[in-house]
Amino acid sequence: MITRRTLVQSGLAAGLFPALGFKTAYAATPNDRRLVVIILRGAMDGLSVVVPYGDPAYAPARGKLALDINKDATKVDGMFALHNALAGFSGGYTAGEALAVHAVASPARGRSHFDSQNVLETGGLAPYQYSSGWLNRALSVLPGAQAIAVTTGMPAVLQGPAKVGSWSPSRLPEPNSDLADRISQMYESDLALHAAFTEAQSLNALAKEAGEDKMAMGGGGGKPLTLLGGVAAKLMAAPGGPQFIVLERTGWDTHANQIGALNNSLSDLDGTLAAFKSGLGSLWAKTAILCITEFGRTVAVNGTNGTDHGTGTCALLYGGAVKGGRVLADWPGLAHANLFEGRDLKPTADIRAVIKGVLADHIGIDPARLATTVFPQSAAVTPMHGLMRS
Amino acid sequence: MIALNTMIAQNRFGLGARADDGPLRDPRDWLKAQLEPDTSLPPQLAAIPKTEDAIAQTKAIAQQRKEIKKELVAAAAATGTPLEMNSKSKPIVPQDQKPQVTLGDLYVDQVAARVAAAVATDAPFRERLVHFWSNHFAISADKQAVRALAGPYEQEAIRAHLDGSFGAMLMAVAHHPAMILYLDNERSFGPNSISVQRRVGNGNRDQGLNENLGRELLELYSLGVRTGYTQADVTELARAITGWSVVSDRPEAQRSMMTGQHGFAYYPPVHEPGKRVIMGKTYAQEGHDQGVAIIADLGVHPATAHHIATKLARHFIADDPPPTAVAKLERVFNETGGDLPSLHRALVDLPEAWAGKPEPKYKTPWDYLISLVRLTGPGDTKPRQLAGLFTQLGQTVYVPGAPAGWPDVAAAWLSSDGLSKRIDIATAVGKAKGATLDARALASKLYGPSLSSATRNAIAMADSGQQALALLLASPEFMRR
Repeated sequence: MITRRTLVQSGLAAGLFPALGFKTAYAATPNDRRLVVIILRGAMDGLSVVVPYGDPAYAPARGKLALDINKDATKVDGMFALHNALAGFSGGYTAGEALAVHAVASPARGRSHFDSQNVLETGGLAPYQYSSGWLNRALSVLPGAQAIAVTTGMPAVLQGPAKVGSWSPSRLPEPNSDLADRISQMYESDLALHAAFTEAQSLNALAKEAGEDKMAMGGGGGKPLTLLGGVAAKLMAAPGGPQFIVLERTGWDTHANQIGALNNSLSDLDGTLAAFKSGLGSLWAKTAILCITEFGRTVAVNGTNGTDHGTGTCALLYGGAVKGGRVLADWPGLAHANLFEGRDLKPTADIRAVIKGVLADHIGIDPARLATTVFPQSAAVTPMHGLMRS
Repeated sequence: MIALNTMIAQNRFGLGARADDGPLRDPRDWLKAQLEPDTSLPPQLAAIPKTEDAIAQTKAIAQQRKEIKKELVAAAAATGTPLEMNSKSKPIVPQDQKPQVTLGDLYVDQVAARVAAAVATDAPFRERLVHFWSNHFAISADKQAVRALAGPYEQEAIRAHLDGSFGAMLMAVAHHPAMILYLDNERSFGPNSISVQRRVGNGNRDQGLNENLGRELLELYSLGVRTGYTQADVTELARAITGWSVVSDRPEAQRSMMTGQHGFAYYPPVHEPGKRVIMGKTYAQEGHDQGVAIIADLGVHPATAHHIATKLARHFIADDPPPTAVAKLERVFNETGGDLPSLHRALVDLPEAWAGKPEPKYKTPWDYLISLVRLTGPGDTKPRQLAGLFTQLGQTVYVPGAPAGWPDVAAAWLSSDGLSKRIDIATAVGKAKGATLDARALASKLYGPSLSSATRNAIAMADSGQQALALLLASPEFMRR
């Protein structure tokens, strides 16, 4: 962590960061930690991922979607069990580097995917209140920090004035090296294009090393995110790799036949997490992966063996820097009287508190900046401290 | 060789020059001629359905899918075999059991028609204005209810009002079923309306206001964000337009509904009674007239004039438009009551639009691909692949994802991934067409004296016609307009 003292000593403070007032020990420049944000679009059923089997109301309320705790999930304490499709994450839990926060939600209560994803990513209180995302605003208080979206199109969480790189697999053949050189030369007097093309070429080269061709040919083999995660990990681990990477995956909107669908999605997510762990190498110790979704699903099963849009759900945090082996929850209970609007897991934690905790303690952003710039209107939402090892 | 003004007219105001376009004798006249009133529809758009028909198709497809999936689930339960799921966790419907036409098919056809019209048009400035206003009043066709409505909406609410006032377009947008369904106004009920009071009396759960359309009418579509209105004004406008909805075939709804154009319906029983106060002005009108009066005022409000002038200047001049240009457009808006043809003519007359850098705007993916096809000619790309190309470039047609529409600044589009994909496309088109198109002649014809020496040299020294065309399509000039 760079403090004002070390900056002043190195003579950089006045020249490079004249506009910043350093008041605390929190970083105003990037540290060497890494953060991966995976957005699970479609509303993941937290009750099937981190299963509250110890709540006597769970099995009766969940009916035929209640998981068999001896077969479908693995107990991690007297209250919760982890879905067996998350085998790698479970292993991380045992090793003390994976945790879950349960009964969590964004401020959105409308149960619309569009609006709630917008709130989750822009960090406001209402949809479309802000046009930039919270991670882009985090970049704005960390001059020099880099982020890359490994998605098609820029996700809302990274949109905004701070410059962000992007890479996604192409279905078209790229130019050969001769043509690429000629393009690069043609761009020489055009700074913006030259910078973007240079970055694109190095990302493409790294992606190729990481097996992007396999992905383009095989189409992901039913695990679209796992292969992408392998590429993303290589991008992050490369010299000068970005501090932040954002990925996304759809497939969580399990209105029908939830069991099979969730199995597929979770094993893809678990494979992605494993791809990061193996791909990041020694950087894993400095990494946190945060998995968040726009809301949870109804406690009751619907008429098509699925669940409908709900409210409270869980967030997952995994990585060598995470102080894991815990499920954090102020558990509201699943008895009917305890449900939100008589149907959903009642949220008892704000997802912004989780994110603020990670950004403060892992990335080192001053909580005062978090409460004003990164998550405006969140002064009352205290960062959840203690999620990280140090 | 062409004059700089021809280049600006064709590329910045238009959608890109075609290989057989000649030099323009008077670029300003050419642009203004496109602003003459024109009620005809480009022939490529003739097959776009009317909104009423597209809504009926949407309902029929939803019903079909429901029945097909019910049968699949029942069959799977009967035989004990697990259902195959797609990546969205929905049962995979075997090809032979799918509805004959899907919502995705309707959407893709509309995208293909939009592209074909943009490629073929001889009035590319007019067509760009349709796209501009469509993006200003954006809906996003990833919401299933409006998946098949974006094309009809663009023709009925936007194109049909290009020769009238801004206020008339705003009014048409606020009444159009695509906008009402996109921003949930059909689900907005006056808490004190007859209908809600009756339901509450019967012990039914609360129904209430949905402020979505009310908020965006103020924030995005007229006054602009932070221009002095308050949350209370948003709520008041939402109350005033309760009952603005779409035609229903339910008998109890049909008893009370008053129908309008394109499938709009007004339901008096869900309208919030009473007068409304918005930004200090009281609206005592009854029923539907109340919202109409408010929106009419918004359409000529000075804040609206400033908001619209800024967006137009940003689109046609520069990401940070010169304040002098904004001020001129604003004055025209205020003096003409927001007359769109006057505003569009004023754009052409702005000296700022013809001075400065020859190509100040980084093309959006839409601009890039349309100008590329206009220059090199349409290939045999199938509509679905064509729609997919826009997605690969990061701008899925009709799907900006939010009511704010697509951003109109380079910062949003000049990304490593976006540029890399454009170059992949340039490479592929170079390969396919470089043997028959002379890139040197095209470059000179397109850019004339403004062609940079770096681009000219790169093309001149290319090792083949294919490489030369790829370089032209990847050039800094062609990335901008």
